[in-house]
Amino acid sequence: MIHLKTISKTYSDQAITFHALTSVDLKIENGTICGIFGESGAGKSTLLRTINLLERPTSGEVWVNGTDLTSLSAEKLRQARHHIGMIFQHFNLLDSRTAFENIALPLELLHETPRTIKERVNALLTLVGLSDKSAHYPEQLSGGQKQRVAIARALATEPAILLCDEPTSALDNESKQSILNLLKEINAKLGVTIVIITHEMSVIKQICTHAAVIDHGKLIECGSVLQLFTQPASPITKKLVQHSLHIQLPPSLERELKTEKINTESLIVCFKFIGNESSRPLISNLIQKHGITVNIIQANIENIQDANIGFTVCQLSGTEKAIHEALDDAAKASVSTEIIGYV
Amino acid sequence: MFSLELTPLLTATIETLYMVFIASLISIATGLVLGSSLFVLSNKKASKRAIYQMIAFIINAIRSIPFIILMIAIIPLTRLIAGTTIGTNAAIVPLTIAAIPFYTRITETALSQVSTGLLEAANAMGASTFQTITKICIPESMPSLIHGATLTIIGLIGYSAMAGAIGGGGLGELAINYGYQRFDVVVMLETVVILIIMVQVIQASGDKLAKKRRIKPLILPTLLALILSVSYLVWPESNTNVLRIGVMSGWQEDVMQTAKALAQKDYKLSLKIIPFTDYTQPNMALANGSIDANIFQHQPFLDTQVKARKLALMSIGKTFVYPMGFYSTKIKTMSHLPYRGIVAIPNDPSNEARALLLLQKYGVITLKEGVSTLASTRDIVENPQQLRFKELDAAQLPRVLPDAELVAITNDFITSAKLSIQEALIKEDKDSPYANIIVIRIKDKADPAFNQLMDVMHSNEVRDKTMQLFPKGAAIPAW
Repeated sequence: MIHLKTISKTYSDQAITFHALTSVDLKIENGTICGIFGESGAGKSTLLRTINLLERPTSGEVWVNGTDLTSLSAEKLRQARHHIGMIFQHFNLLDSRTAFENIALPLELLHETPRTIKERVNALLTLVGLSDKSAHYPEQLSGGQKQRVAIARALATEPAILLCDEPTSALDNESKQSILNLLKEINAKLGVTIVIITHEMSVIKQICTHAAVIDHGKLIECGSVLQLFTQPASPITKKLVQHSLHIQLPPSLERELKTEKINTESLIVCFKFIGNESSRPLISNLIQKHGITVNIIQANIENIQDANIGFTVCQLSGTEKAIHEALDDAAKASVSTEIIGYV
Repeated sequence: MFSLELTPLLTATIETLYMVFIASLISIATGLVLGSSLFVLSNKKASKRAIYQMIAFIINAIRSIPFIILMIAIIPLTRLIAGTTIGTNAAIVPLTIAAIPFYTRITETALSQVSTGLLEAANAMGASTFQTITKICIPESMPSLIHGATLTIIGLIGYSAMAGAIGGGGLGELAINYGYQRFDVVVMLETVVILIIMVQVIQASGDKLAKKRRIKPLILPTLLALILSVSYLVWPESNTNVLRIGVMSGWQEDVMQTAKALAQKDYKLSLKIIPFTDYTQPNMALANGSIDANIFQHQPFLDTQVKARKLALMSIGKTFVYPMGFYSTKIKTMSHLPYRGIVAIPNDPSNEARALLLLQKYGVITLKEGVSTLASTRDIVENPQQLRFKELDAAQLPRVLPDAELVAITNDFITSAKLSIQEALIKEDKDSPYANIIVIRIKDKADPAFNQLMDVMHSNEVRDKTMQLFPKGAAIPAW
């Protein structure tokens, strides 16, 4: 388990003090794929680098599988890092080495025998699907292939954790999908804990089991991705989720939408149904039982974490009492409801 | 006269290759280590920065010293390492010292250009500092390192030309000896052509290797060159029963070739001729045992040197007087010497005094009383013609004949400059104190080998050869 305990990081440059991270507390369970989401400059990159202490926090502790890395000597830390793989946005491969030699590098650092190296590297090349590119230099490989080599290199020492720094940001869509699938496959096959930072919700949606949202150096929210999408707690997360689910109101409604509770007789809500539940019984129930008008604006099904989640955005009109009871009923049916606004 | 035997050219080429190879090998290896250390230190915290600043200062200091000065300045170190201060091996020491700071900087710059992303990846992989340098930084910056090595080697070829000053040999010395001292354009061009080819080959190979990022093809040739160099290094040293004689490079070398052949034939005495291009080195080399005798100076010069440097040296006999003369292409006789005319004289203290004494003898100037063989232009007390004196390098003097009214030319350069002693307006006569002498260490005076050397130098063969090289009274036997 990775446990970041009240991590703070400040950069001081003479007069200016910059708080990159402020009291971040985060637990990542073994075997999960944890996405750290944030806009650029939010501090997600710094946060990722505190896990292997490439960035040493100004205060706080970094516990990785029962060891506080911040307490280790330089030599012990180097050894600990052999068990934490890392990949980068720009791959950071050695141009002077072939794909094979790049993957062999971490093993050479551990003084493995040529025989072991050869076996391990060939197995990894097969794993990432590049057996035929063994003797190619990075400049002869596409972006996606380079990232595959980087992944194989990061896995060479059989680490328990793989840190991914925006691994798909420099890739075209097709390569991006294949890299994400590969990471998911590695997590499933090898049980490696993956921590991935990204500024794309789609990455989180596609492969993460858990996610953390950070903004201005602070941890806003964290939990399972399912929870995050169906029950976002903070306004920032709500907005992100809406945006990533492409929930969009017609322009006429959008203009009238108020976030303050001024008119409680007409409001826009989003019902979220997990699994194969259908939204129809709920909606017809609302209409029949509570006598409110339901106008469906948008509905779609998203696949998150191999579960189908239905999103139904509708406008509810009726008396304040009826609407209140209707929403209570919906909550009882374990359908999460998010009030988008009032019109 | 303009013909060239293959041997000197070949020898010089081998000497240059040898000097440059060994110096390059050592300086590149050392520079790589020092440059890597600087690179590591430059990324460290304040405490380590102090060490960085110190090394950087030393490097800048060495780089700012002109090579010829560096060569003289580190003579004690050279002796410590090479065991001698003259010859090809001795030349390698200053060459290496001069090239190390250069390659250190090249390494530091090359390594600092490795992307921070790669360094971060190395760090994340748990690479030690040493592993980061050897496994990542050096292989990644290989093209820059190879380009830098090419620059260093070519720079060393340039520097090696100056090795002649300490008898280092090589193509540069050959070019100076023949081209500069003897006015032999053909030899000069030949050496220059070989140097150009050498530089081109090195540059082209460097570019090719840098492109391929591989130095593996270099390993075998380097090992081979190393083996050859070591055998070259050991070879001449096996012959111990040799008298090493220092002479001025130029015609004196030719005279000594005759002496060498005769010594071998009549006395079974092996002579090794060590040419010098500078007047101070032969006495220093003799005093410290790098050579066993020298024949290049006259008694007044030796006296000054012995006094100034406290050398335990002595003369065992005279060879020839090579009379100095004043020449002119502008005036026909001394009486035509114009008011405020330019008089060019040698700039080494001994020959400068010699020229001034000659002018005093003919009543052109008057010198301060008692200065004699130490006279300089500052000792002129009367100069009725208001002559303007220009002090130049001895070899440069024949070249300024069109620019000066009167030029003092030592005998070494008369033949080369296509002058004859008879054209001199005024010249020294046979009772001149400036006869060349054979000089040895005082403690060796009982060694019979030097009597044999004297006999050889006074032989008919040597006399004839000298008279042939210095015809029409340009050399007068002084024994």
